[in-house]
Amino acid sequence: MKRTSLFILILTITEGMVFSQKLLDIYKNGPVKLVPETSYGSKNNWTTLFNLYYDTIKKDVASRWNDKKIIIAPDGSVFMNHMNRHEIWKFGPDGTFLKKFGTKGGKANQFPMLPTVQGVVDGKYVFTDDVNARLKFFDMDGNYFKSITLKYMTRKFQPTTNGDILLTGWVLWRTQEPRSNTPKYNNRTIVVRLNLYSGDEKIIYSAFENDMTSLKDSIHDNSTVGLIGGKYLPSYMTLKRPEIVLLPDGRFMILDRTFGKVDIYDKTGKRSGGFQLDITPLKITEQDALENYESVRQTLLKSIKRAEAMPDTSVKKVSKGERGTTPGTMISTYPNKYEIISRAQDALTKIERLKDVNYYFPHLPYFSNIISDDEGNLLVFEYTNRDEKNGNIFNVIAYDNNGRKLARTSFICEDYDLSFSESTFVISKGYVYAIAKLKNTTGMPLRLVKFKITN
Amino acid sequence: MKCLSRIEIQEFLDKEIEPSLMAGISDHIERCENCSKLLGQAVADKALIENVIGKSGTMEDNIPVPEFVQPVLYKKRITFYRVIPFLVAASIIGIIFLFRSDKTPVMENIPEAEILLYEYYDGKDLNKMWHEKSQIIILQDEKGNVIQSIITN
Repeated sequence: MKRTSLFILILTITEGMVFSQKLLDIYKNGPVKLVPETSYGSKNNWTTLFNLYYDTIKKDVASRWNDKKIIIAPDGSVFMNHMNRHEIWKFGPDGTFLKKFGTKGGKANQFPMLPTVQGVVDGKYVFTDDVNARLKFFDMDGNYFKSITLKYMTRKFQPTTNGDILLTGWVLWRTQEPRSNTPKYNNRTIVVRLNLYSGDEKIIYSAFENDMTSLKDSIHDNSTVGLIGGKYLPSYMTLKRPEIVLLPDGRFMILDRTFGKVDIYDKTGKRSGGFQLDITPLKITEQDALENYESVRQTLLKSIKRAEAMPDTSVKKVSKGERGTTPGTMISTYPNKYEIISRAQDALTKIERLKDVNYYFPHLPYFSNIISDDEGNLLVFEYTNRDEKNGNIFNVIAYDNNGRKLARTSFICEDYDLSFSESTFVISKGYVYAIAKLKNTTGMPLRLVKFKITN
Repeated sequence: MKCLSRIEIQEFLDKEIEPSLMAGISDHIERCENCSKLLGQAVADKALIENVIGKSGTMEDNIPVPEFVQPVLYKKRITFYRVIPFLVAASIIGIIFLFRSDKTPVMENIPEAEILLYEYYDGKDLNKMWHEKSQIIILQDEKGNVIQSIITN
């Protein structure tokens, strides 16, 4: 028995080393090709499984959440949240849909709000969180185990060892200068170590981001309208907001998007080193400025047109059941179609400055996204020239978790339209698992795909 | 909560119900068409009764009532030491109003637009958005309320 256990242990370690070695070699040996495994998920009827696909594509509204996110269990099973249904789906190691668990509701094993699957702790418990930071833990068969509710909003999670989970949280921190009547809101970001079994949580890092109420990238003067986000990237969020990468060994990195600086922190939250990203950010051109101006103008015109077609809701009859009102009373609503039209028309008069390239930050952020593989190596995705989009090439620089540059490479995927975000693109044991859209298909294109990484 | 009987409605109207139950019952009546109707009737009945009693009351008012006689010695006297606490409290309130840093009410607006921005970009493939020229445009009023959020492309 002992011999068998030892053999399995050695096999597992060797397997890990081989995968790791393979990945490094592949990164170094030129463009990385993602080749889909055709047998993966072949027993599924994707059209039936993802039958809400067309309903959940959101157009012209702020899509607040990604509907689907995947995580990979140590045995190769995939857990995926299907937010609109308040469900978690489990796929087997061969990609076959096995089961779903969770429903909308207030019981312990239910989800009162849209759940996002976040990780697997100790290989035994898969967990989800929601907008109110309710963490719900289930065993690998979907049986409810326990809940932990945190007092702050959460962003990222990284299970480490012995039930510990490293996570980033944030709160809007309201401050007010003495003798001032204007409150300021700062985004306070924290890194926390939480233990699943004891529920103990310890803040190991805390920092304030810039004052959020003084956004420089807004067309925001003292008149009646504020227009935020009237620029292409870089916006406040994409340029100034630091990216925190949580590592499986309990350390974390903070990456500055504006200057490409990276700080490494140890398990206790103390800075232990840093490095500079070897990237030359793309410059914003005059053409970018002009295109942005035109895009904003067209969007505002579209908004006015749509508002004009809206029913008049400037006054509304109060129906039964609305608290604090008498049924039948007429009240005015806000915002209404006239409000939207007037604000959008006002905004149109203030966007001329978007034509000027000097109005923008001179370059794009140093990176668009960062994905860490299961060895803790960082894949830093660059912004690519718009001319390169047809080539379907994604430029990546791989660093190890000590900041040593491993390779500069490109990811190429011919058959699928990929999104390089942590939610839908996960590297595990030498493979990439992704929620991706099949190109050149007439039917429902969404798939869960397993890619072999090769040169 | 179950619907209320006429007696319970009357008790509610007369505030004879346990105070801790008042809020729950009020909430139910607000949402229940049947109970709202009963309450309406009870209010009308009460008004009618009060009207009748009021009329009879005028008759009673005509009966002369002898003046209540109380010895002068038992009347409370307003002495200076009784006024001191009120004067101190008034002074403190006056000082607070005089020296407070801000005399206008503070706006409590949460930066909703910025939160929308965060949510829009969070977890997305930003390079893809750059290529698709996708961004979020948020129209605000002067108080910071979001009038509309629009996504380009």
